[in-house]
Amino acid sequence: MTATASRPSSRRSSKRSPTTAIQRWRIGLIVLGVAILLLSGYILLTTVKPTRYIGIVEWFIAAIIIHDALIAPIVFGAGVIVRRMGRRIPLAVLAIVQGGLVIGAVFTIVLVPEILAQRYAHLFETLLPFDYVKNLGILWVGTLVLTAAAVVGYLLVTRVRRARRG
Amino acid sequence: MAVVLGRLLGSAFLICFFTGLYSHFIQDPEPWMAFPTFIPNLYAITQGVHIAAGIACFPLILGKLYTIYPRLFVYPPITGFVNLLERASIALFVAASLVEITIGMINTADWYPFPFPFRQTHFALSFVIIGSLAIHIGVKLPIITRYWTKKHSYDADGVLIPPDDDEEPGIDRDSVVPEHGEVPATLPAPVRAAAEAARGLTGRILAWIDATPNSLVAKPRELPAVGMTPPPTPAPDAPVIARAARTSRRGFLVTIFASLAGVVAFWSGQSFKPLAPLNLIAPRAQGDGPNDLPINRTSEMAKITADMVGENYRLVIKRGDQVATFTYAQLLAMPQQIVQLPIACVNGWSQTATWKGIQLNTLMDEVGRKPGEAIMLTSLEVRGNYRVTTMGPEFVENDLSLVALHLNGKVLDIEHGYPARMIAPARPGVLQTKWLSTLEVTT
Ligand code: HEM
Repeated sequence: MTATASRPSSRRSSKRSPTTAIQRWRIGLIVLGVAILLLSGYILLTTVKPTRYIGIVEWFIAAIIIHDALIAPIVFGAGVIVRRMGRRIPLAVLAIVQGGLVIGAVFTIVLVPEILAQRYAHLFETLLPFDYVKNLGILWVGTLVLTAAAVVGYLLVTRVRRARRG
Repeated sequence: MAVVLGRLLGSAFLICFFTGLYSHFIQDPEPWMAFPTFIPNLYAITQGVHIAAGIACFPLILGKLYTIYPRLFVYPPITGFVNLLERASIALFVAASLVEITIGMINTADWYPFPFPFRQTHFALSFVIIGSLAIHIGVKLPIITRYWTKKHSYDADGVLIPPDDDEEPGIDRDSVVPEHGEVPATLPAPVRAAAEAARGLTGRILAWIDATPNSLVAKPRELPAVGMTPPPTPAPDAPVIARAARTSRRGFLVTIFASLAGVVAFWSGQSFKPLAPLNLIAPRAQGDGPNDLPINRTSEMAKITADMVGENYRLVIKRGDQVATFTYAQLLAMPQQIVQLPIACVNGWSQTATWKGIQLNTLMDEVGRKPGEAIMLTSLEVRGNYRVTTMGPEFVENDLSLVALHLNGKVLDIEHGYPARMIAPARPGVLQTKWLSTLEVTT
């Protein structure tokens, strides 16, 4: 608690009792969480062979690296580029375009395991029955069409509104 | 915004956790456990929901991480022991969550490229996640309650209200104020300075990204360099900024929800019939397979030979010393019932089918079954995790439970367990033993 509080503290007294209730909840939740973590350690010890732990740790590290050092910077970078190039484009249009790209990316993430599994997993009848590369293409085309439609729709609506306003 | 996503993500995690626990214990029950059978689709629903909520986690978690990504680079990275613990618990939480949803997803394609056993690891990690989730909620509780409703989060111009220091003791305010999309330019200068200083490089970039279009904010180049207090830039119109922030925020949330709706809709047709025409991305398709039903384990994988299911096939039922043996022809000659029941796979797909066969309870009466007795089922398969399983009395006594000989109007295909298989309500597919060889009363 610093002395630089910049807002009036008029609500201070009325907030006091909820705050202590919140403190109690906080402690309860943290204690519960620690207990569950201990339980998870016990479960891991009793069900997974210690020789496999290293594999789990590797996957943890890989997950963090793939997200924090790959996916996130790419998304941020793309955001910068789109906004940079689009100085004169209305913000809403940029947001729609970015949205379309993100939706396509999410479809891609969800389909990648299946595309890889079709190559590397032991396949049998009825497992992975589709051409997932083709279907991913269909989803991308659909997303792009809808995105374009949303942009056109937005521009039309704003134009009409502006015209009405005079 | 992070609170909105966090709330949904937390709910999705809890749904996954409880449906997952249900799936775990129905496969590995404690001796005292009994399971409801009155909804024949129950397991199809719980596991279908598990997978739907599970894939919904992908857009939610990516969105959530996006809103907090700048926090990864706060400087100084660690301010004390409690802070170290908090950051460590978040790292564990994030890593465990990402691995959990990724391996779950990969597993739905019946693929096991992991250097660890899937089921046990997925189970143990679910407790890691729920434990660190509880800690995380505990730590952030003041912020969560502060921003639970929109009304109390934004002022009349739509600008995020920062928490008061003395109103919410114990919050580090930089964890609240700067989020992507909320350009805090209209905030009181000291708050903004503190917030921006804490955000580091990425925070700057975020603010700059939002400030750039339409030259909303004075020249972006004037944004201060890392580590410096921002100079008092001439603030543009508050409503203009607020509108921009609102557009960003809305665009972001709409994007997350649209992708969530998309993946769930194009996936869930593998278990939810009305969505079947939309099924483009699920690992299974309803109606696809022998007897118009998918399979999960082939006769080849189970090493079933033509000889095992030919002339020499016998179904043996036992209770203590009492033993009864049936040939396939004898089974066919017994009274047959028809039921509609789903095959509901642990991997999430399910499909209701029409089964014809002998009611299990009347069959077990042949060896003098008593109420409350459980049975052990054994398959002809040579090896497999589910070669021998048990079934509680609630399933044995249920009139819908059959030893099935026909499926969807045809003789059971060998891939579906010819000559005879178990089909009972509200149980996962792995327990619907195919190529049945013995049924033995155990209690
Ligand atoms: C935070 C999210 C999740 C939690 C807490 C969770 C939890 C669980 C639990 C406790 C089980 C039971 C494991 C056992 O039988 O021992 C389970 C099973 C399963 N989960 Fe998840 N899960 C999550 C996300 C996912 C996701 C994203 C998917 C896939 C899209 C998934 C797919 C599965 C599958 C296929 C099973 C069945 C495993 C089997 O019995 O062979 N899970 N989950």
